[in-house]
Amino acid sequence: MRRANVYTTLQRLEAKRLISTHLGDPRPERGGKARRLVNVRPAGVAAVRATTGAISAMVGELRGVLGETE
Amino acid sequence: MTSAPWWAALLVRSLAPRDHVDDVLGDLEEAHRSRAGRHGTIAARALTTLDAVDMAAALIRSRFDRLRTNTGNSMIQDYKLGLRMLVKYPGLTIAGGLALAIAIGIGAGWYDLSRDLLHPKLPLPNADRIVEIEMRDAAASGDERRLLHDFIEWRREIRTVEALGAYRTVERNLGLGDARPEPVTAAEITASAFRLAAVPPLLGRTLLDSDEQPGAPPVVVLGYTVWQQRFGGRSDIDGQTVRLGRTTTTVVGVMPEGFAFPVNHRLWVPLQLRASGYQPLEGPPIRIFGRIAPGSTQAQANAELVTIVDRARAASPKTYEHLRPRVLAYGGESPGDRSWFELMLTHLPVVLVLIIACANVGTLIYARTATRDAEIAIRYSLGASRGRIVGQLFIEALVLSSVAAIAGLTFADWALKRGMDAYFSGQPGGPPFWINPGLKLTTMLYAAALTVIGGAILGVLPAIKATRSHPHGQLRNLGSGGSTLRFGWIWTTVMIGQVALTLILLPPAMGITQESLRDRAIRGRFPAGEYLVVQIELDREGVIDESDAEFAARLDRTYREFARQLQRQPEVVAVTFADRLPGMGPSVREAQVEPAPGAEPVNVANMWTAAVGPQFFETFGVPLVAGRDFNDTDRGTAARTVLVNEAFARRYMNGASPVGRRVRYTAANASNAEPWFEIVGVVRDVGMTPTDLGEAPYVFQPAAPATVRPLVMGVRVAGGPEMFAPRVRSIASQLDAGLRLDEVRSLDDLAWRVDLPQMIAAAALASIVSLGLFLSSAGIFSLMSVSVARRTREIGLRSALGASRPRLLAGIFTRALVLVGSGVAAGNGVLLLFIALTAEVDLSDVGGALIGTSALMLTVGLLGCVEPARRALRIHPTDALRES
Repeated sequence: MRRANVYTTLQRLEAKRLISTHLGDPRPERGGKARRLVNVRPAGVAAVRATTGAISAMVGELRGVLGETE
Repeated sequence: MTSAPWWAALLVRSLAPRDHVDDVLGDLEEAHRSRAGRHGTIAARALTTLDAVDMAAALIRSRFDRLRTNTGNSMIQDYKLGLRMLVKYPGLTIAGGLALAIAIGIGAGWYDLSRDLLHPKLPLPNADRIVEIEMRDAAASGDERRLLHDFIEWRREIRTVEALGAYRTVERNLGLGDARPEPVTAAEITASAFRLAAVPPLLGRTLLDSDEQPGAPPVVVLGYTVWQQRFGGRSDIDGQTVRLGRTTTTVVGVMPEGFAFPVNHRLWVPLQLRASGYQPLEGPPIRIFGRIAPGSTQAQANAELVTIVDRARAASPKTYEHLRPRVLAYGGESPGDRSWFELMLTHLPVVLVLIIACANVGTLIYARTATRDAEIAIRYSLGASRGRIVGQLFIEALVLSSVAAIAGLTFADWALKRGMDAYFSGQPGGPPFWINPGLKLTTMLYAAALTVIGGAILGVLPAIKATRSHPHGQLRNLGSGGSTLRFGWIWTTVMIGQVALTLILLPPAMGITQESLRDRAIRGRFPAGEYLVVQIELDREGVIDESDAEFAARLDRTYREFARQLQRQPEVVAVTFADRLPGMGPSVREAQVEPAPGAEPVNVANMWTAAVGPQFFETFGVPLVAGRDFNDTDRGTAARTVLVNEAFARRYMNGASPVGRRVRYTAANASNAEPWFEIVGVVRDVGMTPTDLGEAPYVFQPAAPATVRPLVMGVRVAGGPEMFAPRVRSIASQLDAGLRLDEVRSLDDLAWRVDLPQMIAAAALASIVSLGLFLSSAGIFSLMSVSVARRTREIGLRSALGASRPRLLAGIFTRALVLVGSGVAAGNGVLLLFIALTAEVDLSDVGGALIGTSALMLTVGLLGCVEPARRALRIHPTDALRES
């Protein structure tokens, strides 16, 4: 995965208030720079649940089409 | 330990958001050190450079992404989606668009009209300082315009108003050489008008103070259109002589195009005042204007004028007892005449129409939003913000209201131009020069504001409601084919209100349409196409010198000779005159009728009257059915005889002969009652004045040409009257240059113009009611569609559990019936209240109509349920069970 895509995605999720970020302590292996740490907010957890639910529902519908059984 | 190359760090640092610089650089550094450990310094530098370039590209993309979102790239997509929605839902587009177009069109039209009429902007320099001076007669509740004496006094004394001037409007025949003279609206005006208007002439000069002096040679200044149309724009017109009425006058100048000061005048001649002056309230009526002097205000001018008139009142208390002068803004209302609040109130009905239309269309849009429940839920749960979805629905509604606004504005522009033309066509000279029919930029901006408000009501309210519930709940419902949206009490109230309003408007719409069609049918039986209407005026030149009696005698002679010459034409069957011909609109007076000798007189609020000349009834083919016709003795001043029509006998005499009975007009002052007129004959109904109770009852008075105002000639012509019209004009111009024919057209055409406003009103009301019926039906349809869609599972389960089809249908129709029934009940309630409060309407007369309209509304409402009911019946129990 390209790092650039990770930045973009994290920025969008933060803008939608699904995650929050803060800077950690400076670290020598980063040339004295800090790391950005990510926390998933409750809305983010709920969104993940809803999306996975929706995906499951869709997959469920597709099972019928594909002739699979649960 | 090697660090990330400086160029890579610089590239990333320059593009990273300020609050992310540290961590992004840290990431770059950490990755570089890791690479250096694994691949060596050189390879690590190359890879880190590539990494930095990739990061820079992503950072640039993300900046563009934000920029695009901010500048509305997504808005363009929303607009496209909105346009697609218009095509996808044609019913909503037509119904909603029509309702909004009407609302926005009315709003913009009224705004434009109110600005033109109440706050006109004069296209003259210092327009806001130009004023009109009026003298209010408090006793007569009108304006006193015989102000020549006061004008001369004010011109001498007043300091706060400069360029004080006066004018009066006169109609004159204008001719050059052998060309046929034609009437033109002229202003007899003081030369100060041209100083005040400060518009230089196109050719020659304007009027001068010396032209006003008694005995000065007669001069005229031509307007641009007169110069172009009558004189072909001849550049040598300056100094030429023309015939103005019976006076030979020298043209001294031509004014530029568009100049029509003081109102709509196309020709200016000096207002010459008598050297000996005037007594108070002597002379012809005039209008006075001026410009507030520099350093003064309108209030100061008003105060000064009041002081001057107070002095005059002290000298002549009786004359000035009730006269109150006031200084007004020219052409419109003065600042302070009405408060801002009152002006806003005049726009209230317009806003109300918009709100009603929005409420109607909002119901439909809300139903559409409900059908798009799934789309909204998926977008919402995949991360679209609530604002983004509300914005999208707002823009969709804005597209609809914008399309409607364009249609509404186009219609308003057309209607305003046509309406102004029609309104001013009956007035000599046309509209005032400051009125510019057609929509202006400010009106467009106002309409744009209405459009945005409409879009907000239509788009935002349903969107807020649609996105209020949590996306998880909506997602859960997706599989079930149901909707979480419900019609709340607001929309239900709107529906009920709409049904009630339509019901209230139905009876008047049906009534006025019926009446209009009936009147046209009845009048169609009269051969109005055989008659030519000629309205006659005789110039009263030397107005100050010719006495009223002399003028009356001259008018009488001129008319008789004109009628004699017309009668000699082979096409002319008969000639007569009256103050109005059949079908030309009513003249009503308050009167008393004596039903039997010595009986108590019956008061009649509106007695239809006409003053008619000799051979009036023969000319119009109206036979005498009782008594006698007028003779020459009846036309003398002492005679007090009248004829009536059969409708009069039916209405006031219970069928008995009215001959020998009496009628009189009621004076405003009871102690000063007018003398009685004796009815000497009865004529058959003409059939041109239908009312709800049959032909209008008429009282005909005998008249002489000099006593009739207006003097309208009726000429019965064999063959087309329009073909004969040019000959009538030719005969008149040869007879007397001062004889003006202000109107020469067929009676058919004139009667049609009288009918036109009623027919327009009927058509407008019928359209509004039809739209109301359509919107009601569409609203019920939407409501029931949503209801059925939401209850798919319930209906399916009930069907599976053995509920019969009639039972299912009853459930759907009952809900619609309750809704429409509430509206019908509310509407009938208002109508019954109105009937109870109005003495003129009897419940037994309108009961049938109320039942009929209620049945119609219920039918329309139930028709809206047909398709949703069909959908409900198509739901198969197994489908519903599988979904659940």
